[in-house]
Amino acid sequence: MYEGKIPNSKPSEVKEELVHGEHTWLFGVTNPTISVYLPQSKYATGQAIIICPGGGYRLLSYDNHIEGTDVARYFNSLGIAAIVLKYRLPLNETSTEPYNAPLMDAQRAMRIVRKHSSKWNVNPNEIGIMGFSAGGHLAASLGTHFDHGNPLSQDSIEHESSRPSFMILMYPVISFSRPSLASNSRKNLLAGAESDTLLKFFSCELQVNEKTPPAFITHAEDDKVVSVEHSLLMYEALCNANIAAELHILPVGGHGFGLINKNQHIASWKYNLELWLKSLQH
Amino acid sequence: MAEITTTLVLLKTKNRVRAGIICLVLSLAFFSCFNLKSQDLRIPLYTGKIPNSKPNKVKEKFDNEYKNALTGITVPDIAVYRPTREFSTGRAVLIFPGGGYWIESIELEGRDIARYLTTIGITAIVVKYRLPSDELCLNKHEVPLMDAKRAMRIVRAHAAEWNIDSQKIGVIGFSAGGHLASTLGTHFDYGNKSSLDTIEHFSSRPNFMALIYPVISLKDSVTHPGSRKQLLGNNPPSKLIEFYSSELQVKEDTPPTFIVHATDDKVVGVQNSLLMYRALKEKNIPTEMHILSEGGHGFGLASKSQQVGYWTTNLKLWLESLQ
Repeated sequence: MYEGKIPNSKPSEVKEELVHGEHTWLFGVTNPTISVYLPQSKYATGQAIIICPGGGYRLLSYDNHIEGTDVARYFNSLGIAAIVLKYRLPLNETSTEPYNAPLMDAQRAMRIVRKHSSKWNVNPNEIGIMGFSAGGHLAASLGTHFDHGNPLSQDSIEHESSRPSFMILMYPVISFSRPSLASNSRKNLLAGAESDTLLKFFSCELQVNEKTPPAFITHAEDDKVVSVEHSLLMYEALCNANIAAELHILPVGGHGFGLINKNQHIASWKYNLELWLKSLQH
Repeated sequence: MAEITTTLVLLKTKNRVRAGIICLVLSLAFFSCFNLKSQDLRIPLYTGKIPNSKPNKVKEKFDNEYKNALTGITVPDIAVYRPTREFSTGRAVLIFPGGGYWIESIELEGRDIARYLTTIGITAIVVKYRLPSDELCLNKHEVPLMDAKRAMRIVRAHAAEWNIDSQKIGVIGFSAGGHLASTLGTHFDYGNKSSLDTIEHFSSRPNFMALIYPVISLKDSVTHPGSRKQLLGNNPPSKLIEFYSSELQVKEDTPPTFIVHATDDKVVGVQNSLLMYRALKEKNIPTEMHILSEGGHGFGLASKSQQVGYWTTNLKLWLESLQ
């Protein structure tokens, strides 16, 4: 994703490690990448989605059926380009400002996709970001902390805007502002650096403004890991800023139900998503 | 059809006046026949004197100029639509049409919904409840809830006869009808076993409720002012506002709930549904909520919009998930 030295990084012994078990987990990400999955060009709708896996900012959850290859292929079947983002995890050993590393990578990924849009049959104004759990926090952070690019940069990728055209937030962590909503994501992202300024900066519901892109949010009421209150707060913030937002709350599903689910009821949100994505197409 | 053909033949004959009368009679017969086909049964909620009513000369009116809605309802009843027996799920849903407690949108939020529900194996009952009116009722605000409870008891009393599981009878309400459904879901009783009227022995608790772009709160900042004014009049006492603000009335035995609202609803604010959602969650009532990015107010089945209309599939999947 970066040419030459990776910004906000320092030399370390940390090595990326993929652990297979009941779930597939990736630890110690120091070298961010994107994996691009394109639909057949004749079916391309022009939409693209950058997918941010979850994992509480401690690891990246790499289960194919939740946020990996299967999901990318599913979007491809709808004519949508899918880009899986392997973002850096915030680690004091590897970054000078660990809490900035994931957001920095998400911004960079957005610029890269935009830069390649014509080559990949993507409309530069229809590139969204999707995130699961902590990845939802990252997606919402990008939706509230983007810039329109730096035309003076020598790196032409940096000329591109990092604004997502839409956000898809799956059982997201949103707020760092309330003790009742404490999360591992907050602990891991701001490890040792919890200041009022940063807590506010990364409380996405406090950062919404009229330029925030439209959002689709899904959460299960019985989620014991990330409370549904996160999604309610985000929806209300979007609503107050007059941003078109859609919120689907299921009574069951728990945390991490993903996109492909044998339970038809839990999987139903994906049709709501399909129809919402269609409504955004130009 | 044979009868109509006969009429047409008769028209060609000499006795035109007589033929005209026959034609009128036959077409009346034809249309009442059609009505019988569209609903299987129509039952008045009360036999004898209707409680909480005043003598009046008001006639019920169906206005097909404006929203195909009913006004001036003095004789409340239920219209029962039954699914094909072999596809019946044993589930029943009472439907409360909306209309700001001022009219009843009996087609868009009544009959159309009933027809849809029968196609997914559900017995659908359109409730024609009385609208609050000082001209027609003694205590006007009590009347819609009274009728809703009564309708629930009647359906439960007929459960076996209609192949319904008496523990699978829910409600769906639209807009002000959603308010009515939510007041039933929070103010039901389990029946009065000592009543002389056996219908009153039955519970009026819905087993589940679906609230579609509902009015929930009657508090100043959130409410739909039109519905509140119709139900409680101007400057109602705070006790009544509280009683009819369903977000304040959720209890442990409030049934599982399904909510649909559109973000861009300009008539009944989405805040109503959010308040209800939080109140239900607070009491651990399992709830499903779909807030759409667009759809406005009063979309009914929204058959023309795939995106908005998908709520009916969400509803179906939710119903199937209920025990």
